[in-house]
Amino acid sequence: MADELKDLNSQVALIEEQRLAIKRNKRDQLRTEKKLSMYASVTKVIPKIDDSVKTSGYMVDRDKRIIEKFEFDTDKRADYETCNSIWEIIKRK
Amino acid sequence: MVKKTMSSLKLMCENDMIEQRQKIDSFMAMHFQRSRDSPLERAQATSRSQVKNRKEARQIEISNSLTATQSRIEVLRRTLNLQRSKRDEHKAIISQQLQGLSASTDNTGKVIEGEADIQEAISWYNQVLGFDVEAGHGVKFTFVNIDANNPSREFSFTVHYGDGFYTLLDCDPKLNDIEELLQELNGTNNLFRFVRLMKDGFVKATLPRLSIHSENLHQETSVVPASASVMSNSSDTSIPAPENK
Repeated sequence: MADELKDLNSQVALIEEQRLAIKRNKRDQLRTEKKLSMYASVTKVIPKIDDSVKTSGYMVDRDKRIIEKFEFDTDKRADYETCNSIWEIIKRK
Repeated sequence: MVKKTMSSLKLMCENDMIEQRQKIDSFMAMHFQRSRDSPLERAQATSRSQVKNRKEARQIEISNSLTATQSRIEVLRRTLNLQRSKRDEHKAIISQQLQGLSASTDNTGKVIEGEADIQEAISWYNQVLGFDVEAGHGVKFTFVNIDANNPSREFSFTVHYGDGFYTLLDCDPKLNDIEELLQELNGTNNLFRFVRLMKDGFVKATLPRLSIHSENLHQETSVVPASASVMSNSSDTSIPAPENK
C-alpha cells in the first residue's frame, strides 16, 4: 500500500510538471504569435517562406484591401539591395 | 481392704498419670511439630502467594497488552481503509488528468509545428528586411542594412507603453526630430507608422555618406522592371518603378 501510494504521488508530481510545461509552451506560443503580428503590422509584408529560390512576399493594405506580390531574384541582388528595395515599397504604401 | 483400696487408688493414679503424661506428650509433640513447621509453611505460603500474585499480574499484563493490540489493530484497519479510499481517489484524479494531458499533448504537437512556421517567418523578417523586434522592459526595434558602408551596423530604439502614453527609453543613434515623432505617436497611437518613420529617420541620418551609393541603388533599381525581376499581381495597377533621385 505504501509503495502504491508513493508511486501515485510520483505520478501526480509528473503530471503537474507536464501541465506546467504545457502552460509555458502556450504562453511562449502566444508571445511568438504577437511578435509575428508586430512584424507584419509594421512592415505590411507577408513573406512567402516556402520559396527558396526567390525572395518574395505580399504587400498588404488592409484599408484598401489590396494584396500585391513582390519578388526578387536573390542570385542577382545583394541582401542589402533587396532589403532596401522592399522597404522602399513599404514606404510608398 | 485398705491395702486393696490403696493399691487400686495407686493404680488409678498411675493410669491417670500415664494418661495425663500421654496427653501432655501428644500435646507437646503437636505443638512442637507446629512450631517447627510454621516458618516453612509461612515461607511456602508466602511463596505461593507471591507466585499467585505474579501470575495474576502477568495475566493482567497480557490482558492489557491484548486490549492495546486490538485497539491498535482497529486503528490500523481504519487507517488502511482511509488510505485505500485516498488511493482510489488519487487513481481516479490521475486517470482524468492523464486523459487531459493526452489531449493537450496532441494539441502541443500541432502547436509546435505551427510555432516552427512562425519562427521561420520571423527569421525572414530578420534576414530579408534586416528588422528585429524584442520584448522586454519596453519593445526594442533594431534595423540593419541601413549603413551601406557597414550593413551589419545596428540602428535601434526602445519604446515603453505605460499609463496611457509611449516613452522612448533609448535611441541609437539619436535622431534630431525624435521628439516630434514621439508626440505624433502619442497623438495617433499608431506605433506601426512610428516604427516605419524611425527607420526612415535612421536612413536619412546616414544619407550624407550614402549620397553616391543611394544614386547607384536607384539607378540599378530602375533597370529591374526591364529584367522582369519584380512582378505584381495586384487587382489594381502594377507597382510603379522607383523614381531616380
